[in-house]
Amino acid sequence: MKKKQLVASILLVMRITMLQIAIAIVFAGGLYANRLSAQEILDKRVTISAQNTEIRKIISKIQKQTGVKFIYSPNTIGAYRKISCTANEKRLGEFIESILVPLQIGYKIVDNQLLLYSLSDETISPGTPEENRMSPTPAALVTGRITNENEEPMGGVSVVVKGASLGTSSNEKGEFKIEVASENAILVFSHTGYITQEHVVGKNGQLDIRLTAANKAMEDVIVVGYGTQKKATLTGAVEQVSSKEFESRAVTNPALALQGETPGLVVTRTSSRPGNEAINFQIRGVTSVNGGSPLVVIDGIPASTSNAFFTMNPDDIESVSILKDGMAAIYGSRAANGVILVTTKRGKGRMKIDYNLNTRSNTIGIRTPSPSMQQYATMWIEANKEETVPNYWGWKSLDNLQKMQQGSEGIYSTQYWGDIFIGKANRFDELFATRLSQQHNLAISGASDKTAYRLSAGYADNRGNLATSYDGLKQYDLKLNYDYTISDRIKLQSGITYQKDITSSPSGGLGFDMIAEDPPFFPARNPYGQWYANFGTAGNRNSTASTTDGGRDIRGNDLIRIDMKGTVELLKGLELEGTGSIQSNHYRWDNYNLTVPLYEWDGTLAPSSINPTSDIRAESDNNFYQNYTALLRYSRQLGDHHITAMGGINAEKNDFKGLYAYRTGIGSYGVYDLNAAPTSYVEGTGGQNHWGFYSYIGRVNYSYQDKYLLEVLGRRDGSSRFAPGYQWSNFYNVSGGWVMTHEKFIERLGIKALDLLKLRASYGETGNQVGIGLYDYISAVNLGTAIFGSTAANQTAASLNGSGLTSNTRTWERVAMMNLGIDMGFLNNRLTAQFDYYKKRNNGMLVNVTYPSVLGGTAPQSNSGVLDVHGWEAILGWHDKIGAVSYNIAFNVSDSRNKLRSMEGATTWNAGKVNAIVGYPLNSWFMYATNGYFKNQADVDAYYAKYTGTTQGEVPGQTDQTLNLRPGDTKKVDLDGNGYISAIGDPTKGNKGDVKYMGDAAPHYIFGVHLGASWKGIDVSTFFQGVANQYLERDGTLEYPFWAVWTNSNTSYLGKTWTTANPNAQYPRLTVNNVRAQWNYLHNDFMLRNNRYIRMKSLIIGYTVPKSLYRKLKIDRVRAYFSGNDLFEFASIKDGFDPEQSSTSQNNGYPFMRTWAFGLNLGF
Amino acid sequence: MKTALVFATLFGVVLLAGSCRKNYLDLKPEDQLTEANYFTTPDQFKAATNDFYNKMISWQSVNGSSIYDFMDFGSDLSSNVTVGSEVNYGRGSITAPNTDIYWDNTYNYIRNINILLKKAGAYTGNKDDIKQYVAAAKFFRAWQYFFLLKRFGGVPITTTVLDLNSPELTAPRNSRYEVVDQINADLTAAIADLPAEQAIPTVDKGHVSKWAAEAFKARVLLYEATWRKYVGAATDFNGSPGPASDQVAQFLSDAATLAKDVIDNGGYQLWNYNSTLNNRSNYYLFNIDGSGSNPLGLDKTTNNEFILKSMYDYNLRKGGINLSFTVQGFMTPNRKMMDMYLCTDGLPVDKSPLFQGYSDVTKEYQSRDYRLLAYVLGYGSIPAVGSVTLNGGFGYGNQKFAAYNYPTYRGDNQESQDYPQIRLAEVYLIYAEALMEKNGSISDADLDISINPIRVRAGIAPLTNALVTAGGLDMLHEIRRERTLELYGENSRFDDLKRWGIAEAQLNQNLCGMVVGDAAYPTEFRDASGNATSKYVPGAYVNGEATVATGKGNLKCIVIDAAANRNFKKMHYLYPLPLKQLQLNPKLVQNNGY
Repeated sequence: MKKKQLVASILLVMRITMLQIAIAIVFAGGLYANRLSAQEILDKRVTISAQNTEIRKIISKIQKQTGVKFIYSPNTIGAYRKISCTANEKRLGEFIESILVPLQIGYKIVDNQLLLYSLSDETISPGTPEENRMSPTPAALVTGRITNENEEPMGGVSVVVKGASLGTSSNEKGEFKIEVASENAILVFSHTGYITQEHVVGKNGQLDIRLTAANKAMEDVIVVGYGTQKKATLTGAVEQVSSKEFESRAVTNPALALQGETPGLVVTRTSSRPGNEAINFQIRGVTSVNGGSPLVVIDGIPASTSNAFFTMNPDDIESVSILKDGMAAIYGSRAANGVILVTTKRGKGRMKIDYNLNTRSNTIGIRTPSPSMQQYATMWIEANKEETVPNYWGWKSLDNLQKMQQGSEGIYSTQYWGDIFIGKANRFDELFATRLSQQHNLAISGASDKTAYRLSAGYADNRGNLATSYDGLKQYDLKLNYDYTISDRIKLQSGITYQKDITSSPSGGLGFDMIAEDPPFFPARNPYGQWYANFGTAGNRNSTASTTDGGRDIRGNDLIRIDMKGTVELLKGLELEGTGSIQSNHYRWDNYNLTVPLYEWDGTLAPSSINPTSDIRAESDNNFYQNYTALLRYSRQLGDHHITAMGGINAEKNDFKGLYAYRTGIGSYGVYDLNAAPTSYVEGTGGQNHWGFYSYIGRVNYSYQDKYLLEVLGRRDGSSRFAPGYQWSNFYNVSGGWVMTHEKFIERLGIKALDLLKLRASYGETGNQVGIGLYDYISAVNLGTAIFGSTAANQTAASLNGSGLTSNTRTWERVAMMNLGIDMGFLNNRLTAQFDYYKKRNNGMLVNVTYPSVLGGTAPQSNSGVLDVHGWEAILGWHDKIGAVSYNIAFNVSDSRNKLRSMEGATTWNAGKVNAIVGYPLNSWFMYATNGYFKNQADVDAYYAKYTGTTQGEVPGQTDQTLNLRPGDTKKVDLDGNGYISAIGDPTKGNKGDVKYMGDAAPHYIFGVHLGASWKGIDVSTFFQGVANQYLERDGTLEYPFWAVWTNSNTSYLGKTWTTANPNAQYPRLTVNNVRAQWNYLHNDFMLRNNRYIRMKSLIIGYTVPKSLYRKLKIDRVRAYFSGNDLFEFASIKDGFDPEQSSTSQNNGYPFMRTWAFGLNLGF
Repeated sequence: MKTALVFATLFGVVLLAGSCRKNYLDLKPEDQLTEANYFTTPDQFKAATNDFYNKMISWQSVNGSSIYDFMDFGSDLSSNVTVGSEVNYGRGSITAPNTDIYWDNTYNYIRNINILLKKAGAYTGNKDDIKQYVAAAKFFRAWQYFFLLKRFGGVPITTTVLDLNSPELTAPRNSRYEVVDQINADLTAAIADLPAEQAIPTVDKGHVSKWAAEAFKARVLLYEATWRKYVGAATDFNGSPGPASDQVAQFLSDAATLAKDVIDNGGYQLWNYNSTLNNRSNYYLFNIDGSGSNPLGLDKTTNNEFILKSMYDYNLRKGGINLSFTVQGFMTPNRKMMDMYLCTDGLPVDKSPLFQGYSDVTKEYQSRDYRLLAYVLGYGSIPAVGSVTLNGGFGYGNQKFAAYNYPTYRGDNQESQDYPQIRLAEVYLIYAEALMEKNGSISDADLDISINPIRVRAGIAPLTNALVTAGGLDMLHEIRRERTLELYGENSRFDDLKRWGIAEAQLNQNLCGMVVGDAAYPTEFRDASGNATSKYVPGAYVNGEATVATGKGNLKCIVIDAAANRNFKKMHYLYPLPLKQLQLNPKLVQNNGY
């Protein structure tokens, strides 16, 4: 008795406490993650005897008895109908199937809860069910088999006789059996996530049905960080990409498969070289002048390195969620740039073995600028035609150039390099060719009562187009997800991951020297087969030689990750979840540069060589990351009110230790290790650091009849990066939703086509960690050396880092984000639309405040900047079926704009791209205003008279006759009217300079288009991605002709420049003088171009071989497919650079590739 | 019971988690020392001053500095019109820049010095243990302020560690006179506590000595005294206060006294291996870099002439710039410089009977100052007749600072000779000039302990009052000539031209190359009919030829840079303050004319 009282009072306390927690702390969440399996729920026993009782009362009884939560809208399922039923220790599943399903009530298990919904399109009248159950005498028996699109059997499909309340459901083999009154009866087949079908029974009593998946968007369960939510009741801006988008894509890096998939996430790359793509993520545009990218979270734990995501096996990914708005605030100080949540596949169902392989041919895409010898010489000749004093530079004479223009090979006498051989040589064709790649994935998965497992292995070898030596990425992935149910209340989940990647490339020869500096007429080898020195005695470059013999650069990661998660059901509706994860990444870098002797044409050794000092370096870094979480989850349904809450503690720590060593003088003996190099010159450095987080998290969700939705979440972050006393900061988000289609007044409108209309709004504040160093608040001592002594020796030289200026109050940037969204579904959710508008304000952006230099030190950044960002995203989708052909179309587009509102410190600008200027977007273009070209000498003279008075401007040629402007040169405009041409003028006099704002450099109107269709076993899908507006000025040596005489030529200007015969040309005249060339081209308004493109990112054509052909082979599934990447594009700028490449021209010689893959999926 | 267990579990979790919070948050750097535990031992003070040595401008670029901005490229002695920022400066063709690293960097160095001085004040150990380093810090603070003084004139003075809200950040400029007083005060304090060179242990050679500080102070005093004498307040910024008193005579007298002390007690010697190095000591001195840097295998230990140097070492600290290549091509002398060298009799070319003229390219090297041979030819021989072709080049080369056996022994970026910051020869020159400026005359005895040892090494007759009288020379001019020739390329010429008040006159002349002559004075380049020979391509010279005064009267020379292009004005005596600093501190007044 006493004991009972104690328990009762504790329970009371418990309730009160929980209530307080729910109110006082923003504990939130639901019964997420892993608990009872669906089977276990359906296996619960029900004993009931009810006469003429409302369905909802019966459900309530069952709820109490079984502890299983039912979720339903009483109106929708007709819960006020009265029925009679009895059950004695009946399985809950059977009970539902036999009593509720015939009443047009469907069910689904979501998060341990039984979701009830109406199986009928029409509102069920609260009629008398008894009458309905006394259905007509059965007249015909119908049998059949139900399969999905992949011809896999579908169990649990509801089969109901239209107009009656008779029904059944299919078994695990997809078979069903039902008695109907007549051959004319209509059967309705429905299953959540699939399009409902109706069929007339017909004469033969046999119906084989294939259901096609409906747009599941509204049914999906979405991962939202420390839990999941139903898409239907989601209040934030979250996108989810399912595993489908990774299937059959011939990519090894999942990040690349995400490009263009969802509107808010912009994935860019500057290269297609495997392992060197320089992938950048951005969610909803920039957030800060300091940059920043989304936090990537894999299975609930932040990825310790970006590589952990890039090299994971795409085949292991179940879904990717993208938190775009304040909902990301559950990740607090790292959430300002959004969060990407990756969830991996776990075992389910019967044992399955899947094997996927594809083999690819990577061909060369857009050919990077690589002029021929003839084109090169033509540029020189044409340019000199326009010069008063010709300058043939090293080529010495017009005669030489004319010979080159004719393509004449031979020994040329030059100005600086003596007699050298010039011949046809095409570095591009020597360096690049089609290369093959391959990928294999094997997965074994399954589940039993107690366990669920999925073991997968992947191997990929992905090669770039380099022909002279191996350039590629090898990847090995192993993953085991193993779940174990210890008891009804205790569950364990574990995951073990091993990822290894090795990117191996030549150590040199692919940068500046490749296309920017080498003119196209030095063959790689001389007639003796030796590497030929370009520019004869003066040269020390030869990319073909460098990439073949110049050494290697090998970078690799070994990542081991172990996750453990335990869930204990403490009380009904209350769960404690503990998670521990460790990630250990070992990074290894080996790099050596070998001396490659070069030879002159006659076989004599040239004085210069590639890498005159050979060297070798190695770096070995270990990163050890730990993450521990304890969470309490609570979920409760009180009538129409549903509350879930989650709260807990999270602790993280990262330890880094690095070693680096360097020696010179390694020889080409085939052994490339530090030990093989002499000890005469040795460098070695160490280094270690650590950081930690300690956080409190909480979230509360409330919904009323799934109609009014409210969510409050927050996180309190403590970070080791700040001084004690300044370590803590709070972040939060409040969001709400209104499902209008659940409203009576909307229902009453009777718009049959409208299935869903949901409004969402959120406001939250998140933090940005970029720009915060590990120990910024501590004044560190930098140790260097100075040499002293009669015999020189190193002594320590010490100084304070930044000369000792630190700040305790400097903290995370704080970004407030407001989001408004609308979700719509029409025509049985065949047409879906989603639109989001957002505003962000970074209030406290870290900016470098400029103090007078008299200060003498580097002032810490201050949280004084304000950046405003706003933008929108839209998604439109349609799917349907015409006859046997199912098809779908989806379109997404987004845009983001920003404006720097204020920033402490002086405003400075220059011509070209300006990073930050108040009142303009970040990275704005400020270009010289021009007004055509000088028509004649009088025009020039007038210009000189006007703009080269006493004050010095930028007009060339005032004191130097070799620089004088001539007809055909650009006429810049004195915008600020201060009497001279200058980008900045004299700011102290209030000059605004002669440059004008012409837009920003960020991509705008980024879009993606999905098209897909399937017919019987054949499926076709394609995906286009593009940018509709992005201003770009190419930069670097190949931006315009004669950036310098010694660089290669950009022949895309040939024929488009001003000449007396062509005064209305697109570009000003060619000039070999680099100062004048700069005046004519660099940062002039006409050099800014709109880099628009649309590219076919992927094309997949698959054929699933009919099962009948191999059923006996114990094979489940055979599918062959073609998968192509980047097969073609339309781009607005045609200067030889890929539209996805960065703006620089000089280091971008490596072409983008197109991938043509053939693959096979086998299921056993 | 079960619920109690649940509570216990929860309580346990929370307790456990809370107690280890600091394990995640209180994380200090693991691979770095911090200010909190530094500056506690004399060795740490030493280490902090060691850093200051690296900040003197020398071969290696420090925070963007370039030695080529400080080699007098583009001066009135130069035939280089392309490389180095001083080329445009010499032409008077500069405008106020937005930023100037030589302003920004210098204040950064001063801050670091002030930090050390502040920490020294708080040092709890025996202050005698660190007094040498405190003195060194003051020496370097004076060094940096002198650098600012020469470039900008009066500048804001900071002697404390400024904070973000220190009033000094927006204080007006101090006058040049205040800056000079600050420099003098620091140097006086430094001299008192610095060790004599003789007391510096072998392993610490290279650290600043008392003599170095004295020599440097003598340099500052002579500089400022002559500036005030010849330039006066003409360049002072608008609103600058004048000097508290006329210190010129005192400065000159102090400069001479300090120089004398270094000469008498410093124990330094001119590096003279003329007898075994073919009289080219003045070439080999400037590239001593290991035993391969001269035929005798003399290494840096033989150099007892450099009083303060920036130290380099082939293994530990290479020059890291293409030094030999650059000085060979761009530190080249012009006509004026070539004619400035005396003949061995101590007389100028236009007066000495030993001078042979220009009719062939060997002639002007005969019976001349060894420095002409050392600087122009290095270890090479006098050019043979017919060996020079004028097709765009300057006609003369330069070897001062270029590596011996370049590029075999030392290639580009490998040169590692010490950079002379102060050397004995300059102290001799300061002594003579200070006395001359102070008294208007100088005794033969004083010349014999100063200028004449330099002339001995240069192989020219001693400078005496008799020689001056007999040759119709001007003593001050001859002392300045010695300075000009001896310190060529050592960042002295522009400063000297300005403090002597003759920069405009000297810089705005034609910069000429070789004498090409004409029909009346045929050379290898123009024959007796006045026609260009095969050795001369007149078209290669945009600026043509000009007739200028030479050792053989007015002759035609090729023009490297025309006087018309040169417009050096009084305003250019000082560099403009960077515009950004004026924006940030409106109280800063720009230098006159910019």
